[in-house]
Amino acid sequence: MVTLARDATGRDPADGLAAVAALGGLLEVLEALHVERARRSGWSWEAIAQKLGVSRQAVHQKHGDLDKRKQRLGKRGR
Amino acid sequence: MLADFEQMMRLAAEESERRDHRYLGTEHALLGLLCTSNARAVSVLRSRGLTVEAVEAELGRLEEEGVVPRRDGGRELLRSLGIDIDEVLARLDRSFGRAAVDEATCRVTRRPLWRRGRRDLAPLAKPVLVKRALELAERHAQTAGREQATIDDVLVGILRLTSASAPPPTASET
Repeated sequence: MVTLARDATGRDPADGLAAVAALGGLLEVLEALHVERARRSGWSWEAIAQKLGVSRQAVHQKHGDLDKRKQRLGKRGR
Repeated sequence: MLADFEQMMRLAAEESERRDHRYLGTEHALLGLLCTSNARAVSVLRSRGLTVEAVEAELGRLEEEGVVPRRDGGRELLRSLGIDIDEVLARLDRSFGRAAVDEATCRVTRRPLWRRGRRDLAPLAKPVLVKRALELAERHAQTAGREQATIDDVLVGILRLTSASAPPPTASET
């Protein structure tokens, strides 16, 4: 473990790239959580996209399933 | 789903956690199932020698062979960048709740562009690999005219999932 920890910021591209990928995974989950919270608070896709610094289409394409999921859960709850 | 189903899943999650596995799979569900209630499915399994002890022994053997993936990878790699994922998770739990974090992880790793095998790169929560079995359980319950899946249905779901990599739809399902 210690070796791995040292290597990830070291020179081996394999470890460095794996660390970047892990960071990417963390980022995706954080984004998903915050986008969902924003939508629940009534934020528009436009406003979310602006904060994230991407286009509205990009954010909608990535997280658009949120609305579908909400509808589905809403139906089940009734 | 029913209360004993929730208990089963809680036990399954605990089992996965205790063994430090990085996913929640049918094997954990099976253990949870065996520890749960007096459902018919449980007595059938026990009568065939499939006890908690037997499943645990088999899981232990698979662990030793390295077949069962332990939690690793992302966690250590992120630590190497100075990110303590356990601390991140604790904060997110406080802010969003564990269920929301789990759901977000599921949503992210299910995206088509999320490459197969990259599941371990979402170290915040465990991928719920048992989900497909639960869907099959729900479908089985529906065809049997039950509104909610029971523990017995879950066993059918697990068996359908594991007996064939792509279970053919039965006549009653279509």
